[in-house]
Amino acid sequence: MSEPIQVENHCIHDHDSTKIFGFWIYLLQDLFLFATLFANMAVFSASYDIGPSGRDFIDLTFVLVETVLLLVSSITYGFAMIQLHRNSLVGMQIWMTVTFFLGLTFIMMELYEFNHLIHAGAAPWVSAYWSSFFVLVATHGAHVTGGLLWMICMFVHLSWDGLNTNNRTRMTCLSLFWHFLDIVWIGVFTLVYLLGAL
Amino acid sequence: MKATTNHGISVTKYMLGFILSVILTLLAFSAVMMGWIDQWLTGTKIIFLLGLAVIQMLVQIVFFLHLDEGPDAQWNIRSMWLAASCVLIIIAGTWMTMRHLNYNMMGGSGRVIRSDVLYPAILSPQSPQNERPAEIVPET
Repeated sequence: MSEPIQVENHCIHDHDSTKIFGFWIYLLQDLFLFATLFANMAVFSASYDIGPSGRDFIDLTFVLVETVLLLVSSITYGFAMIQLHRNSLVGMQIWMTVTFFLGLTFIMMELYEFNHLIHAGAAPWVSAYWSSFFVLVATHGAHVTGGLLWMICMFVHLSWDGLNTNNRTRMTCLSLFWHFLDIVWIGVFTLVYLLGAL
Repeated sequence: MKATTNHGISVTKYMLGFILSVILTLLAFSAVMMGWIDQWLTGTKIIFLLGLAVIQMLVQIVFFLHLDEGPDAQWNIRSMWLAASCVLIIIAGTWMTMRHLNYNMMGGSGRVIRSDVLYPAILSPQSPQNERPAEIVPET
């Protein structure tokens, strides 16, 4: 990496840019995980034999609400980052709380949907289609849950240390993670839900 | 860009990305839910929806991720292009090689195997009296 620029920008930036770049590399390899699951979903998109198909169960209004929740949580996290750059701890905590509850609602809706599908006969063990559906959507959901746990950890860190360099780095990594999950969700709702409902 | 890194994160940029994302999301959902694209060919529908998704992903990468800021901007972008090419190869390659997975299975094309498609004569009551029902009748 170009050393002189890094030194110069270390004065401007109040966080560890190498760690953030490392986290970005982690996110890109996480993208490979999702890519294999998307490929899996595409291949098995019609493998339901005489069992229930996606078209029988997909409720697009429900998915639209989930999508809006995640998208709004993305922008509220962006507002938290703006508060971070303005050195406002309270403002950041408020926006993070809003983000946390939007993400929590999203996870609750997803769990409700899984429960509903399994009880209605569209369970992961029914066909290859529903296996790949559950693996892909639940992997995304597990990541969102991870993001929520990370936010809880950040609330503790922030209450202990305030806005120090470590916490700024963590908040920036979490912001990348959260926006990344929203970007993956675009692929999920298009490939799984919209194309599944055609 | 370097001069503005300290205050590079602006409300305007986030709001612009948010509004564009909302428009693209609503366009994709309403096209399917309101039946705007019902008359299109299936291939055209798929390309249209995937195209909207790719555009929205690019919008969010540009407006939300701030990859073009900071000391590692060049490395962020280059590693992202590398990963994006690999992801394209994984998804498109898998789909190309495996879409005929069931080609020699029952149902011909193998894309959809449903008994109501395979045996309409048995399942539908208004079917003409042809081979299979004729065999079943004497047994009962």
